[in-house]
Amino acid sequence: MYSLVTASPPIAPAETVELPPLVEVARGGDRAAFARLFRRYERMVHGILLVKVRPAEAEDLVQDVFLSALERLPTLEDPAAFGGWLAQIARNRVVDHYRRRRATEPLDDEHPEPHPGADRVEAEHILGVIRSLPEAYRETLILRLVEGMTGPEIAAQVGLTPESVRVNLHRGMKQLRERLGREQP
Amino acid sequence: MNERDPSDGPDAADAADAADAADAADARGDYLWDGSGEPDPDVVELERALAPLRLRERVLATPQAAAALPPPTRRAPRSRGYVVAGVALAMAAGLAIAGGWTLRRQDIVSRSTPPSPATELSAVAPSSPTAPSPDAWFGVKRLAGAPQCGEQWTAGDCKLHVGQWLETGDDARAEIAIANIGQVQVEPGSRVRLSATGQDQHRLELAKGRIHATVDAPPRLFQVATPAATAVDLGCAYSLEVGDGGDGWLAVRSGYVSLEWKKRTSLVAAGARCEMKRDLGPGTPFFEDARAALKTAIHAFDFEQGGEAAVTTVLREARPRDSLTLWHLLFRSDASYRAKVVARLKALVPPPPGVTDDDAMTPDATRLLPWKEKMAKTW
Repeated sequence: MYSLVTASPPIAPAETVELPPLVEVARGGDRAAFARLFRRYERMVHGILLVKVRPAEAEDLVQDVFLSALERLPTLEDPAAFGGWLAQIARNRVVDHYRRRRATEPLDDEHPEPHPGADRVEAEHILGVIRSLPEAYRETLILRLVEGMTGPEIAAQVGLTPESVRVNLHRGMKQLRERLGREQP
Repeated sequence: MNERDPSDGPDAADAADAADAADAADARGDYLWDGSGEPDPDVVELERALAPLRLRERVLATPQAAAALPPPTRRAPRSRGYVVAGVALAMAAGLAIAGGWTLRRQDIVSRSTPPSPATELSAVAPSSPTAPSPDAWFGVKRLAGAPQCGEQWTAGDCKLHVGQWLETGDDARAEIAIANIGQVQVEPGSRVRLSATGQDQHRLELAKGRIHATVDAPPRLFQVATPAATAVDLGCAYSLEVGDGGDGWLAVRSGYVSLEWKKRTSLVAAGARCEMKRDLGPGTPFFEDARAALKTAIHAFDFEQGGEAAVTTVLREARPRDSLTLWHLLFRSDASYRAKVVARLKALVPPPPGVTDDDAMTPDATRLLPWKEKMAKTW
C-alpha cells in the first residue's frame, strides 16, 4: 500500500511512495506498482549489467532481470530489501548470460557493434578502464558516472551503507584518474 | 588515504574508511558524492563521455507497436528502445486502456548529471515536463464522431493547447495524451480544458461529462479540476464525472486518488467511489461492493445532514474493508458520537500497539498513521 503520511487531517498524501508498501502492492499482483518499481530501479539494474555485459545487450537484459524479479517477488521476505535483492538477481543474470553464451555462441568480441561513432568508442574505452578496476569499485562508479545516480541513491537502491558507497566512489575515482592518466586536482 | 584490499568487498568499508573518503573530499568531492558543490571537471567530463552508455530514453510507443514487438527472445537483434518500451508497457498493462501510450523515463537525468543530449529528448512531445512551454499542447486522438478541439471541429487527430477546450458533443469520443505519463479518454457530452502543463504539474479542467484517466506518474503530477473538487492523481486509473450542475463522482480502478476541495480531502482507493457536490466538496469514499444500506447512509451523512443516525447505520453495515469509509468518518463525525466510530473501527481493524483511544478521539492523524497503514491493507 502507499504510504500516506500526513500532518493535516484527515489525509494528506505524501509526495513519494515508500518502498515497502510499493513492493507489497506489487507482490499482490498490481502491475502498475511493479511498473513503478521498474522505473525506480531500471538505472540501477542497467548499471550492474554494464559492469560485465556489452552495452548493446545490457538494455535487453534489463527486461529479463525485471521479468525474473516479477516471477520471484512472492519469495522476497523483506520488502525493504527489494533493491539489494534485485541487484543480486541482476548479477546472477550476468552469470547466466555468459554461461548460455559459452554454450551456444561465439564470444562477445566476435560481434562488435557495427560502425560505432567516436563518442561511443570513447565511452566504451572508459568503460573498459572502469572494468579493469578492482571489483568493489566498478559497480559504484558505473552507477554514478554512467547512470547518473548520486551516492545516496546508490546506497539506498543497492542496499549498501552510505559509508561503503562513499569509500568505493572516492577510491575508485582515484584509481580511475590514475589509469586514465589524469592527475587528481 | 589508506589502501584496503578491495576484495574485502564494499561492506568491508568501515567508519574510518568513510572518514578518509570524507577527508579526501574537498568541494569537488561533494560533487562526486551527491552532485552538490563545485563540479569536479574530471567527473563532469566522465559523465559526458559515458552518457552514450546510459540507459536510453523510452521511445514513444503505442499498444499496437508493443503488440508488434517480437517475443522476448534472448539473442535476436532488437531495437533497443522498443525493448525497454515493451517491457514497460507490459508491466503497466494493468493500467493501460486502449489508445496511444507515451512512456519515457522521467528520472533519467539526476541533478548530478548534465542534461541529456538533444537526441535523447527528440522523442519527447512539446508538452513534456522537461520542456515546459507557454505554447505547450497535448495530442488528441479522435475515437469517434467529430470532437471540437479549440475552435475547430476535427475528423482526425488534433492538438489541444494550454487554455483550449476539447468538446465531444453528443456522439464524439476522444483521447488526450497526457505528456509522457498516460492518457485520458473523453466520453460524449464532455468539456475538458487543458489548464496547465509543465515540469511540476499537468492540469485539466473537467467542466462537464465523463473522463477515464490512466496515469503512471509521481503522485500529484496530474490533476483534474472540477466545479466540486480536484482529483489529484497518486498513480492510478480512474473515472470522473461531472453533471450539468457541477456535482459528480469519482471511481478509482487502480491506485489511489486524492479528491480535494479547500481543506477537505478524501482518499479514494481502487474499487472505491466518492461523490462530490459543488460548494460542499468531496463526500466520504466507500467501496462499490459495500452494502447498499451503507452507501445510502453515507450519502445522507455527507449531503443530507444525516448526522449520528446515518453514522450508526454505516457502522452497523461496515466490513473490515470499509475501514476506508470509517477512517474518514473519524475526522468528520461530531465529537459527541465519535467514540462509536472509534469503537467500531477498533473492532474491524484492531489498532497496532502505541495507538491510543485518545489519539483516535482527538483525532491525531500523525499518531494514527500506523493504524491507518494497517487498515489500508484491507483496502
